[in-house]
Amino acid sequence: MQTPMWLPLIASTLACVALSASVSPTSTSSFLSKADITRLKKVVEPGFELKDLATLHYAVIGYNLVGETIPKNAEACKFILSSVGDASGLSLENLYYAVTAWKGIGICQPLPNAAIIKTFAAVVEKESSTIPEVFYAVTGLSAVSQHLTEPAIVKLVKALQAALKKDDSILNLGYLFHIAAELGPAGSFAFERIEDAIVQADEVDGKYLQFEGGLSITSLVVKGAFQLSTNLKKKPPITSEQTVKFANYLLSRRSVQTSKGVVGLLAALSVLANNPFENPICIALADGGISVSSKQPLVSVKVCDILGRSLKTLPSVVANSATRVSDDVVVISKKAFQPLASDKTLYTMNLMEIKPERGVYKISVSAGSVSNIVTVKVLSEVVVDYLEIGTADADQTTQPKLSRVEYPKKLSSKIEADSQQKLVIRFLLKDSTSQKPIRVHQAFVRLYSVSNSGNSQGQEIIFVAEPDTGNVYKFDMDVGSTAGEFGHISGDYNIELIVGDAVLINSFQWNVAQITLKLPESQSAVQTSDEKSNLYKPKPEIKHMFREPEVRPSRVVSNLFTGLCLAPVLLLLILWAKLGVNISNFPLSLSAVIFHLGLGGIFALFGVFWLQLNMFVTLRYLLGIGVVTFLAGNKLLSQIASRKGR
Amino acid sequence: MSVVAVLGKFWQEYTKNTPKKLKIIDAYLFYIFLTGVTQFVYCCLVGTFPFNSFLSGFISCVSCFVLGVCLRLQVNPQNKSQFHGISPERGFADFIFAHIILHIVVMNFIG
Amino acid sequence: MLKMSLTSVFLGFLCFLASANAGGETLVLLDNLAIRETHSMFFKSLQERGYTLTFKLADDANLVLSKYGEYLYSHLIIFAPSVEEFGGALSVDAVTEFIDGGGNVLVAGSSQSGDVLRELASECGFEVDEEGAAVIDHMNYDVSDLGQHTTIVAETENLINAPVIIGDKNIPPLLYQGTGLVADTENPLVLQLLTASSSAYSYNPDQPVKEYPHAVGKNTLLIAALQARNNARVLFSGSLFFFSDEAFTSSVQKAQGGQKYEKSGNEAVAKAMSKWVFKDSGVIRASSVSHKKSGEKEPPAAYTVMDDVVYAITIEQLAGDKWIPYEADDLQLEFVRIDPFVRTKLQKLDNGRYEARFKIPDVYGVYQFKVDYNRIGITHLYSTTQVSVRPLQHTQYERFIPSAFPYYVSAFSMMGGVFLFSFVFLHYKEDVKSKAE
Repeated sequence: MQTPMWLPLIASTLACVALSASVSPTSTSSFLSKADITRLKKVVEPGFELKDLATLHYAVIGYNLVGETIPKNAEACKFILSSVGDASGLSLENLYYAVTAWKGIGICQPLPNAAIIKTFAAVVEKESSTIPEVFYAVTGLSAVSQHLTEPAIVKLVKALQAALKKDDSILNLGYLFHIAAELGPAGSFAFERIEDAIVQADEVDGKYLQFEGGLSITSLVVKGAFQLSTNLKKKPPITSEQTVKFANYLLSRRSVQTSKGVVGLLAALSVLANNPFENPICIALADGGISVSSKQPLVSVKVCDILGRSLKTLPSVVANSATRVSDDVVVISKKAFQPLASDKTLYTMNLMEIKPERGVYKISVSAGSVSNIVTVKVLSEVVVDYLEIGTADADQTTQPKLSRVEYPKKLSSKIEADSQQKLVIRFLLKDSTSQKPIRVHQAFVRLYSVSNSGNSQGQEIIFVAEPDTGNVYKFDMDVGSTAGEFGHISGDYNIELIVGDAVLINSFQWNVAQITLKLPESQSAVQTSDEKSNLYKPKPEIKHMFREPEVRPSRVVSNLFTGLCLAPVLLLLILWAKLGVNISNFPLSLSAVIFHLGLGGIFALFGVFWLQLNMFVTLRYLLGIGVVTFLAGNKLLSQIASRKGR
Repeated sequence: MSVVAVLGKFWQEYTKNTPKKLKIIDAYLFYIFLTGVTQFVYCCLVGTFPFNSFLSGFISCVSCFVLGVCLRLQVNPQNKSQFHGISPERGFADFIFAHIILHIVVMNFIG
Repeated sequence: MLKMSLTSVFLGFLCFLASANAGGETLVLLDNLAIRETHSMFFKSLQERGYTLTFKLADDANLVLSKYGEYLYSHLIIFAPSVEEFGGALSVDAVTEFIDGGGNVLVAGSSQSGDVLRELASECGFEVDEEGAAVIDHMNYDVSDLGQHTTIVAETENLINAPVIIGDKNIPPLLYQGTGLVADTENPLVLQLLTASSSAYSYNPDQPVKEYPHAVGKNTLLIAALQARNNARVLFSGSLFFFSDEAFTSSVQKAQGGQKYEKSGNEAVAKAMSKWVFKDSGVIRASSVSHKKSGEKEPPAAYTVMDDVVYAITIEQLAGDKWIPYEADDLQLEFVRIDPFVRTKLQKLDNGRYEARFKIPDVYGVYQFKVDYNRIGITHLYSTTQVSVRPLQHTQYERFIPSAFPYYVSAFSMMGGVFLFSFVFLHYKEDVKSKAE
């Protein structure tokens, strides 16, 4: 149930952030809300599944920081004790996690302190230890309430200074501050380094300060610097502006998703909120307070510390000025906010008392020494005074025939327009309270096709209606010349009026009428869009058209003609018989027989060729038979010739 | 007078004056002619579908007819003066040779 | 095709890690390092999928995309809306060259988009609205809106119909805050991933609407994408906010009434889109192609007209670093000789195998089996195999056709006639004639 709360809150705080760039505000514009805390808790919660020491450490520390009781602490203790064992098998880091988690739970059975102290002390004494290692060891020692001896501290300080000479990265500085904070007065050597560290911070957008490396390093350094200063009771060399910017940065990282980040964020924020030097204050619009209207005339601001708690001394909250953004007119100066009895962090002011015009106002709010700028919108309600719709001839020879439509009804009759005509709409918008004509940001006329099928699918064409000097909105659409925008698709279209503005309560879409457009045919094909949409679709299938097989006569006809073709042979034989042919002159010579056999053979060969042989084989045989036949024929013919000659 | 009379006269002349050998050739030619016509009619009736077959069959007839006519011209005693030195046997040899060439082409083409 | 596969082999050789396909070197350009943290969920999801992210400021003086002609990164994320000029060796030309070289680019703008992004967008076929302009929707703004109605609720029904790009459509609405894009209508490769609703428009919220807005209604593109001809992918969002942790975790509710959703759909869509743009999804390839005469095993040297042919292709899609069978039922095969003669559906068999059977046309020539598969969000699959189709050999024509019998008979009759005639002609005895004389 908490989630709905923080959403508008983030919105409003971000609004302030966005609009306060010009004058650098001296307060933060957001704070860590309950919803944020719940969400951050959820991020660290898996640590209680007792998978490993690091996540458990973050879960325990995180829960402590948000003041939540630790669930299943008995199991957690058991897990820590069993993990630690005799403290020899653990890495330094894990031992640190175990010890701090143990300390965080606070009610566990004692740890094998002697062994742990020995391990940590060894690290502290070793000269080659890196600064993070020393940090783990020192913090671990303090967790088991073991303090270093004076000579050990002196030695450690020297070792640290030597280590810093080698590597004074911002990460090491951050750890150094934490170590120094544990060392008491001896840690003052590190105090001088705070300034070195702070100057390394990058400013982003003029409102955030962060270190390269992001949330983990920024929170480490900020927390360390303030802790060290607190322990030394010296004001850190960090200006209040820088503090606010660090706080802004940390708060902007509320959406952090790692348990390490969550703990760093929470620790740094709580140090910032609780340190005795600089506590950033948040001035922001209260939940959903961005809109002000006659129904909800109060501007309410939240003034609290960055953890969302009320301030110890309640400041007087004053609106220094309220400026309309559109024309820079100051409408209020020095007006006090009234504290709200029910919630000490909330202050309200009735902005509508002065009857401001609708618009966006920037209010400069100061609470004690700090100030910030919040932005509110004064909303109004719009009413349609009248709306006329109709058609007129495009060449303006006749008066347009207009009919009135009442909001939110729809014109009962259909309007028809062809390419010689134009569609005309006139309307006037008024403020419902002041009854003055108003202009709005969005006054669009949208035409969209009624049928949702075929080519006109999703077809919508939007035009801008323009106001004249009397604020009457006019909209003329020459049907002929806009045909292209409709894709030359005639048909029924709905006419919709869209009126919208950021400072209207009731932006609306109003289906005014239906129009039948008769558009001229397009000269050029409208296929480009089709082609485009078809690029990603399967193409139509293509079947090859095979050549039609020839019409074949029936078997009967073929056979009949086969017979008919053979018939002349019979006729030949008959005719020859009539003529009385004979072959009585047949010479009984070998050559005659061979010639005729050869000739017959050649023709038989042709028959076989037709049936199965190929040309080459045929020619080979033909050559053989041909030669024989030729020789025989030659002889036969010369015989016949000589016989005749005789 | 009439066409019939002219034809009748022509027929009489033909049967009387044409040597028997030429009549044999004429019968042969008539047979070829009829075969060709039958094919042509068939083709006109049912379409040209196996066109190569039709061409080969028909051209085979036409060529045989042409070759036959050539042979007849060479054999005709009346034309002896024109084909001086070419005996009918020589003409027949050419005739047979041409036929062999013709038919191998026809067989190749008839499909 | 060949060149591509060669380069991919080469690239694979270069990044000799086993996960050559999944993930890859990614350069992330930011306006400021804070973006790395405000968008940590998005970056984390990328890193979890195996991408190596290198974060740089967009105006870093040492930016390089390539060294010695080799690209150092396979993907580029530009989350730097307000950058006016890239630093180092990077420029719009360098980025377009990177895209031409097959690199994938994800760009997010905002209502304060700088000229560099505008230029880059127009190279890719989108137009970004002027600086200061934002998409405004007075009907569909979120309850968290800052007052100008620029934090709009984009309905999921306005997402493109392509699950491969945007994942499941059945998710809560999306939060969007940024500038409006317009697609170049002439560019068929531009995909309109997310459009605004009819009541939206893109204009400077602080200025009265004097001119026709850059984009109105459904023409207002919120997220556009482009798959270039070389399959390089570019995604352009007008909103950097869309990818932020805040947008991922926020609840969504239209201010003018409407259902409240505990968590916006941004995370799901952003993840799906990043998967797509960095080629984790929608990447397919043809792993094998075969063709043969029906009933035979090996492809012939040449097909003869009117052969029955069987064409088979195996298509795989990339899943993580493995290739798995790709399932679709709209694959088509074309048999092309300049123009397609046959276009038929490829039937799905199993394991990504597709098969088509058809009869080769009765027109001979040099043909190609062509699979040209171009679907929204999927890499363009183009596979051609050239084969020659020859006419029937003279022995292959139909013979002994019944309707040709008269001709056969006539031809033989002619031969027979000559044969008979030779007897009669040679050995005819003219005894009758002599008597008559």
